[in-house]
Amino acid sequence: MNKKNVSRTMKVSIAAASLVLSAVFASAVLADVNVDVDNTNTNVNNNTATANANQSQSQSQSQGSGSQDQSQSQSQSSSATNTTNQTQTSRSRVNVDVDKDSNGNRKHEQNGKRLPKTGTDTAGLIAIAALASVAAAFGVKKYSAR
Amino acid sequence: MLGIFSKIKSHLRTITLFFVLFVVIFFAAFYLVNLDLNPEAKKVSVSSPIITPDLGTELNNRIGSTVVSMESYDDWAKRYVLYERNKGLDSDPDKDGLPNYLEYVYGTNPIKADTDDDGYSDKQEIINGYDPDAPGDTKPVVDVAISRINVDAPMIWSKSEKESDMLADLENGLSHFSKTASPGQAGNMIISGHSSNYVWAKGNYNHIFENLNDLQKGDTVTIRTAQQNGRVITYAYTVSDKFITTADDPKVFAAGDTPVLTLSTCWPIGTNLRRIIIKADLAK
Repeated sequence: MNKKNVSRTMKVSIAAASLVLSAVFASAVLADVNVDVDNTNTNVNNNTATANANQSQSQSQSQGSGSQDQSQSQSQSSSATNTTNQTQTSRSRVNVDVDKDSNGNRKHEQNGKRLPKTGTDTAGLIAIAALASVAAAFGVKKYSAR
Repeated sequence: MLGIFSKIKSHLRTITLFFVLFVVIFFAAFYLVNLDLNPEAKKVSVSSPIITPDLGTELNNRIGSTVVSMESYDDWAKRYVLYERNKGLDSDPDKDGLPNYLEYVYGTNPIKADTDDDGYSDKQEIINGYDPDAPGDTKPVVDVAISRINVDAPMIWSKSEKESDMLADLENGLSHFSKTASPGQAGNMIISGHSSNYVWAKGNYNHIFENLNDLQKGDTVTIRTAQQNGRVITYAYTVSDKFITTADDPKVFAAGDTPVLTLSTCWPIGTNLRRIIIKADLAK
């Protein structure tokens, strides 16, 4: 195997190892998905034909991973005399809680308290992974040079 | 497409070697950096701060007994001159909200609302985790014992909810989350301990909760409090739930009217990504 091929293989291997690690971290850290969409439209018409329209939309998303819930509701009301009001609201929610850790909701955003870090830092884990990648690449290079 | 596969095939040997080396080196380095290299030695050095009364041979010989028990409730009531009218277990002669049976257990004065004259009633001090029979901000010495996972360690009362304060406490034992319930009291008492730490980190309690995941429903967690007046009170909690969640899950901090113990540590071992939570109810 020539040097060029070894170098290319190592690059591919390091990229693959990084990809695997990224996937592991993504599944562990980003465990839940929440998507909320709220829409409200109001139209008011009277004899002088004035109109108001309000629209608000909010969306939030966070990632995670197991079960999936989806609910959707829609309501519409209208009245007409001299004034016409029309309100339309739609709401949809998607929750994904793959690891079934009961965190597939948005309550967490309102909590100010946090348990202390009682384990080694994630940065340490990444450093070890990087070190292992470099050492493994060095080992492969040595082996291939034989 | 076929070209890519043939290229991958040609490099398969190198890729396999890389992955084998990567896995071996990764786990070796992970173990060296994170895990307890000499667990047995450290377990020996971890000892309870509460000394079980051991009178020793000389004192045993002097008093002719190996067992010393608390005075009986009747003797205690007589000592404080409690008459029939107010010596009942549920009577509260000093109207501090603490009935006689609790005054008896805590060794406080049943006819004086503030036994240690520090401006706070006995009941207030007990609810807030202070020693009712010691002046100022004295708190009882507390230790946590879990026989199932061989844990016996002091609990440190954290000064604040600041992470730096709690991490400093964790060098000396388990950390009581500030402003959560006290042992035996209504509400949620949260205690955290290390599941892993770097080998160069200070303290003898860097792996004290490494086996927390082995606890099962029905296991017992014993919490002992020792006051300055010598009273040692033991609370037994029975494990009722176990789950893995995030560090800021409100479910962990939720408090009701009943005494609940929450134990937490980082999970998986060697990371601080998630927390494993043990919930336990006070056994009566």
